[in-house]
Amino acid sequence: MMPFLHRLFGATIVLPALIAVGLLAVDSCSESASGKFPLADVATALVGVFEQGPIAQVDPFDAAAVSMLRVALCCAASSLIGLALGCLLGFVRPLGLLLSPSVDFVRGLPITFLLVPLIWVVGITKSPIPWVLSCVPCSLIVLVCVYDRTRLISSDRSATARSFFGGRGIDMLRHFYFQELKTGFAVGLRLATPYAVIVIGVLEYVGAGSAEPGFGTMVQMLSERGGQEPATIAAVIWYGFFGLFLLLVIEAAEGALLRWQGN
Amino acid sequence: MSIESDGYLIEVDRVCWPDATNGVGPVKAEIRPGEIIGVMGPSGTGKSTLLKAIAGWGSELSGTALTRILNGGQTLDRKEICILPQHSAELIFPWYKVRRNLKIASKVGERFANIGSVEIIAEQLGLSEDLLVKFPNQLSGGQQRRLALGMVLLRRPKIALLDEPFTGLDPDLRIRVWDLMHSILKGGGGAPPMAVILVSHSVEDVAVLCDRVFVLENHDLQSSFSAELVREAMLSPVLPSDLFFGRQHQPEVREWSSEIRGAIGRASAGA
Repeated sequence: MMPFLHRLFGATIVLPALIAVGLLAVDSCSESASGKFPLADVATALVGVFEQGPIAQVDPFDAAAVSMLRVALCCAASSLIGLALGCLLGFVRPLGLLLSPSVDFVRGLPITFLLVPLIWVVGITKSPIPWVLSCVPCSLIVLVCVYDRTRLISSDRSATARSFFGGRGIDMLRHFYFQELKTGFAVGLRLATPYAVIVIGVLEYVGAGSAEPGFGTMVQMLSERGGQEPATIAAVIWYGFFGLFLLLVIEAAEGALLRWQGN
Repeated sequence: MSIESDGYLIEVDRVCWPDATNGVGPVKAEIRPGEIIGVMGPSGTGKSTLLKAIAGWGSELSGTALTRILNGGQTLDRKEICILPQHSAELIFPWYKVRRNLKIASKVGERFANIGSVEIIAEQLGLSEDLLVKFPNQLSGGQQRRLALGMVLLRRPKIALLDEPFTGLDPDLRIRVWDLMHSILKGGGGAPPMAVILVSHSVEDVAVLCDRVFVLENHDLQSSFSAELVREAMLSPVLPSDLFFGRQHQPEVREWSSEIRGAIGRASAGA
């Protein structure tokens, strides 16, 4: 519970600070229709976004639900793909030897760096493209974390466990490998979640692919209207909070899964 | 070499680690259910390597046709062998609480005809109720050692390979654990007796528990003694009871070591 509260406390300090810096920046360089850009308008808009009803036929609640569902699906798909590939690389030695230089290269990159070549290759407008753009880098994050974890399993430890279980594969899988890999998987999922939140929000904003409008689509519609800067900023802040909430849920799940590490 | 049908004939070829360190063998020995064989020798002479070779760590060690363990002419299944490594953490599952670790061992052991009780073993090993609900990383080194030992005892293999199982135990507890091991390994509670190969630096452990003692030196089994001879040797005024073979490189310890072998040899001739 304490790490969770610690993170929440950190978020309550960092997020308002970031928002304040952003608003000050906007305040200093923008002007609304009524003259100077007022901070109070953004605060009012934070409540008003969900009270004013559909924005250009997009309901804010529905849009938020669509976006979070996309993020959750992206995280789930990436987790499975990353876990499977990480295990493959970690346990099939020739494959690991062949591909470990590539994994080491990917580990050193900011993962958003991959977006540029991906967009070059697959474009951005067709329907499955947002899934490719969000899932491929997220899968790579999980893959790297799982693969790293497999490399931390010493041969002494696995040989001892094999001897203990009398070579019974199902027990080795359940009580040893699954538990060992859980750590890498949980870390990978936690790292991939903020990335998925950002990429899906941005892809919705630029109108990539899907017909179903998400929260990013709504932000884009707001930004195209004149005099809606406070509402636009408020919507972005709300999206950040949704992402943070999802991350906190995943962190809480990670804490519950890996309770033994907190001791 | 002939051996009765209920005994095990262990043959280990020359093996070493891939970096060519701590090689050992060839070794040929027989052991019977309920028998405890002690293995002593200086550090780095290959005692742990020998245990790992017997446990069947073929892919980790270098060597050809590493180990054969025959039981009445038939090769013994590897699932009947379990090793307690020198570092307890290699055996313990840190993600499970202490009780769950012991229960898993008991469950695995049941498949191999175990009848041990988690609670009884835990109590005799000094793992109280408040320790059973903790995670292993909340235990001290000695408590982890006892947990690992309890796991092997509950796992109940036909051959248990114990690498310095009493490290970190205080004297009182050590005596309790000796009693427990003696009763379990010899077939207490109706369980089938286990054959044990015990690596230890402590002459007391070996003298109290073992039926026979092998001295491993220069990566080979140099000599084998009955435990009675070791016990006699321990009583000799020439010997410090806590003689440490592992420090033979020091001249005075080398002298002690020479004296203990001389004393054991004299006792042997006398017997």
